[in-house]
Amino acid sequence: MGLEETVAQVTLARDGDEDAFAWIVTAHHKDVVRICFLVGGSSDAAEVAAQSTWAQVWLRLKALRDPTRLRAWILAIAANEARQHVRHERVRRLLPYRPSEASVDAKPRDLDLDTALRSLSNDDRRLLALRHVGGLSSIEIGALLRSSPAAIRMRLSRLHERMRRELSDD
Amino acid sequence: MTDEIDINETYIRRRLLAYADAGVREITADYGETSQRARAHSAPRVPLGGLLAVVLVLGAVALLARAPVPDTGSDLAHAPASSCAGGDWPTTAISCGTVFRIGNQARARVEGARIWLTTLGAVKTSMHPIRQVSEPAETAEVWIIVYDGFWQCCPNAFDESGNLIPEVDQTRWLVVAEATRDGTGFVYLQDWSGKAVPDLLP
Repeated sequence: MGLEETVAQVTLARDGDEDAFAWIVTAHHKDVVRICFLVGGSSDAAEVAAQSTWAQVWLRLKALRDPTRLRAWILAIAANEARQHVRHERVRRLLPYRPSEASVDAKPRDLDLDTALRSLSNDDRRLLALRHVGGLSSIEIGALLRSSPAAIRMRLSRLHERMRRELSDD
Repeated sequence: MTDEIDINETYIRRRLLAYADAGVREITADYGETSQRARAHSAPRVPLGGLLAVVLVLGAVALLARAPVPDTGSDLAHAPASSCAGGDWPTTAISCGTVFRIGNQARARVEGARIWLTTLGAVKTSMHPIRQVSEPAETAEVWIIVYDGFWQCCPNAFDESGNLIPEVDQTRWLVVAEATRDGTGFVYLQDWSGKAVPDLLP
């Protein structure tokens, strides 16, 4: 998936080309779902947020000035959609956020990581997701979140330290 | 990613990626379906009530042939309608209701709206919104809706360079969409808090 092809597909999708949009979805859907899962905290939340992400992308693709930044742009939308979903669920339930029974997966989860993530704010989970699942640099994240790369690095470093303390070794 | 933050980075990344992969129950395999659903979700929808309203409006127009039809291309200025149902609009490819849903998103508290059907040129001349997309001609017919209320965080809004704008509290926001083309016709979705709104637009 080269940049040239990405730019070509974005150009086509902006003009309503459905195959080009499907190409974009195929290229990024897995990471979109992963990010939505990390930020949203459950498979159900991830599915809802991921679908909402693609609706937003389709709706606003023309607003993307630099198609070479497609991936960072999509992943930022995904993180925001998942964050919105969590907020909305909190308000709806008037309860602290927890995944619904139906969303708890049958397979065992990484419980200490699960606990550590739940102790973080939505913003911190979004930051970790963009960094580690999205693979974005502190410069890219800083541009998306309107923060300096140095500030992003500082926040990430503190988060890493905190996570490392709370996680048991393998 | 080129900048390594600290010695914990690799460890945290490995744990998070494994967690995300294990936790996602199923990643939709049919990408075609996913993209189709996304397009359907964001495409204009015409509810049954809307169709009925169109039929009634067309009937009324036929019966009252002498009634004036709004000339959106004229220079006559109009006061806004406060709702889609409250305006005397001609039928457009993209309905007022479709555009209204762009701005009245989940979690927004809309306390009032001002709606015009006018030209993009009139909007740009009167309100000077920041360019967000490749814009149609200034003669293009557009819906413009100014919402008053409260919308925390404008999810996924963009600045002039196409960057995501961090979430902000908005008390007024602006939506402009083309009225005459297929698709959503999206032109602007912008924070308009504290900014003036004209009383009349052509």
